[in-house]
Amino acid sequence: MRSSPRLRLHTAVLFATVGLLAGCSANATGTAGSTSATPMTGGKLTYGVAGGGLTTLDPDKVASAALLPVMSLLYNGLTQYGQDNSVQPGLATSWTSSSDLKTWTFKMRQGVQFHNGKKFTAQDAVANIQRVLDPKTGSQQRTTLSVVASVQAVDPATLQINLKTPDALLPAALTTVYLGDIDTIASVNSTANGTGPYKLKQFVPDDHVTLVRNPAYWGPKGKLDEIDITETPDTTSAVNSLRNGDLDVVWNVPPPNLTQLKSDPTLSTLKPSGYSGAVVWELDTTSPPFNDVRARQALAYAVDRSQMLTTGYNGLGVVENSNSILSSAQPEYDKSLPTFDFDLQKAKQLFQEAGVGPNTQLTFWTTAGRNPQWLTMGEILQQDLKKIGINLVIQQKEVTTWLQKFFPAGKKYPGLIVANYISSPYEPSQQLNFFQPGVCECNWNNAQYDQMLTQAVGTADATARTQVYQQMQALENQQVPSIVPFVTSQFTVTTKRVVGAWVQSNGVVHLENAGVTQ
Amino acid sequence: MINFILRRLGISVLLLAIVSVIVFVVLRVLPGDPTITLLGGAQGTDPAQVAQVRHQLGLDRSLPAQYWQWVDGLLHGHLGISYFSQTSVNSLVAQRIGPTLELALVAIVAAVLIAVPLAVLAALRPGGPADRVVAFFTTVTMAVPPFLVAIILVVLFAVRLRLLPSRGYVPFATDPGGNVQMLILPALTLALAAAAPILRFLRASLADVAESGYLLTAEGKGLPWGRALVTHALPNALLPTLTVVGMTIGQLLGGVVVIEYIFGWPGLGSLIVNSVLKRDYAVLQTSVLFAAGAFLLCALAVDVLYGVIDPRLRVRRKVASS
Repeated sequence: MRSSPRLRLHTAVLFATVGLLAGCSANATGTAGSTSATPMTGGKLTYGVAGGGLTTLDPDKVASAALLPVMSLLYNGLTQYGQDNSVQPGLATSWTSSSDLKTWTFKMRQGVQFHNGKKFTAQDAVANIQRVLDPKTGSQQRTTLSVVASVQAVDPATLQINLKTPDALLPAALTTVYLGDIDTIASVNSTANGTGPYKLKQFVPDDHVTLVRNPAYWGPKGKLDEIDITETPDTTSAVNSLRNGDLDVVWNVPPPNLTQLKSDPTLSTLKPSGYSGAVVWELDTTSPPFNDVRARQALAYAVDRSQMLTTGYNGLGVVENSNSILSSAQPEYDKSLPTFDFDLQKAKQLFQEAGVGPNTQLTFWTTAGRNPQWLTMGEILQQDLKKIGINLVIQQKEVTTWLQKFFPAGKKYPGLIVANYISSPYEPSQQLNFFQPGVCECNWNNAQYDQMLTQAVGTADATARTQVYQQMQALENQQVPSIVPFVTSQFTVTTKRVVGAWVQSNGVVHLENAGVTQ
Repeated sequence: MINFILRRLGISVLLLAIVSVIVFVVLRVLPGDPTITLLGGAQGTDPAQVAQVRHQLGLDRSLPAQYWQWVDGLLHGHLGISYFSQTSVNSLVAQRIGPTLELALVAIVAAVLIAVPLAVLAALRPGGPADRVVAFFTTVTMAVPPFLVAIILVVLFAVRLRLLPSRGYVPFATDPGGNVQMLILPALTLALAAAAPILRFLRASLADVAESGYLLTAEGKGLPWGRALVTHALPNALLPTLTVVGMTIGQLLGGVVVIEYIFGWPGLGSLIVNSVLKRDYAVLQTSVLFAAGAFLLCALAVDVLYGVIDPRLRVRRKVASS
């Protein structure tokens, strides 16, 4: 798909702080709690969203990553990600495409009803997709579906989607498009009429959402009587609440707090089975000095990635030393990429070639009040750049001010290094498309890269597609449109009584099958 | 009296109008943009999409037009619609006012209950051991920021002793026991912070009154000093203290931002902070105006109460106005 899916959410950033983390190894378990304990049916689970972001229950207006776990409890997509990062059936039971990959046909699940009892049909899927595509809706998911030319219900059980360009990966893109009842969408914050395993009991915007089990759910029924999702803006107090049991799950715990919790035997840390998030420092490739590729490469050499991961993120991530946004755990990652091993002399030389001499001033643009780990990374860079005569000024701005400086794509910000975090689904095309024009605020516009992405998503054969992905990574690694210090995720902590919760590679927590043991 | 109240009300309305202009302008001068926040940094957002959202929120209209739309709505009882949740500000404030009222009132009552006995105790023998201990208590509770007190209380009572919940809120009507349990720590934190200034003020005005002739007379007639202080000095000393209490209530009604944040108390304070972070002007301007209104109302109530409680003021005013 041409443009991007990912609700990437700088996400997370938005009201969330991006926390981080995860850790360690890609094969760590993604499920909470001990495997021997079986959850009872019943009970109540309290889920804290550090940083907030519970603004709306409209499935087409997901402005914050904090809303994603709520969406997957209330709604379903046509497709959904499994714990193994595979795309699985949701409200669609099966799908086929025409040989030119431009016409996709989805079979709708039968016997599904919305929370208010209304029957779900292909027409509901049509209404949702059309609403997302309507510019008047202002849906954040619109770009995800920009490849769609038209959509229609062939019959109540069959949905047909026609595309502008071939796309082998449409089912993956549809995982983030949640389907609600458009007839009642005007009252969505009081009805939230979806088909998901839990239904709405109460919603106080920016405070909490209370959900109760949907006894008529088409899939495995929810185990809990009630899930209370609550904002916990103050991380320190959220951590205290975890320790005394007032909260069962906290999403987006910043790394400094994580260290503090590590030693507590009553808590566990959820890790995804693989990462699809990355710390990204965006550079304006159309303004000096970073319009010169040598200045970008120089900066890549000046980044002490291992030190930053250790000090800023407590080691919770993977340093590749290349500039690929993919994780080396993904089969599509190109292991032959040249690396940017920390080398200040090389950095100095390249900076000089690019005309960035001693006493040049650059600015590290990061968020205030959240993401303390980014500040730490900036301070390390500051010290290292000083050794080669470059003066790095660190500016911390409150999130909205921070975002406005470089978002949306197309803004000029000469001399700025913008700290950011990008999370995407575990699908290379949705990670690599970050560097497309109009998507990455780095303003990089490389026709060859775009052409390869179009080619990749239009390629049905996975091996052939991987080859294209690797060519894209080689190009990106050589051109360095932005700096990718390392891949990581967002960090979730639960108490040991929680069973069956898991974290997706982009850091989103799934509570659909969660239960408690006592 | 009626004239007095009407005049004060008139001034209050004027002040509110001024506040509304200041709030409106300051919000728009702040860096940041609700449109950008609303799009959430969603990938591939183009300027046309930003313009579309801006138009939908009415932010592309001129500032006077936006101001008039807001004020006109206020006058008709429509407080606005949140840019983000698309919920009316009427219902957002209605959801939040109950918890804030409850917390504010309980905290102020507790603060008075802490402050009055301690002030009397301290005033019994100025410079004595009790006075010094109370002075120390006052200094500490004034010096230590409430958020630190809150964290200490949570660590002690919630994490270590596990006696009380660390956070949360349930309406009293749903679960009275749970409500009270969750109320204790935030209310205590606030009460400690609010008690200190009340205590200091009352202690000082007790000392003033203690030197007046009628108290010496009372003591000379054989009334024990302690009783004289409580029955004769305290009622007079409480009057000026009323101002401090009134102002404190006014501040608390605006929402106690930090405390609500720490304890997850869903009041007006956390609503305001959330709105600031997102630049939800619609919610923010009305809530801030509401807080200003609550403060003015409390100040007015204190002035009126003065007249009711202290006949001397009434008489004086009558004399002055005649």
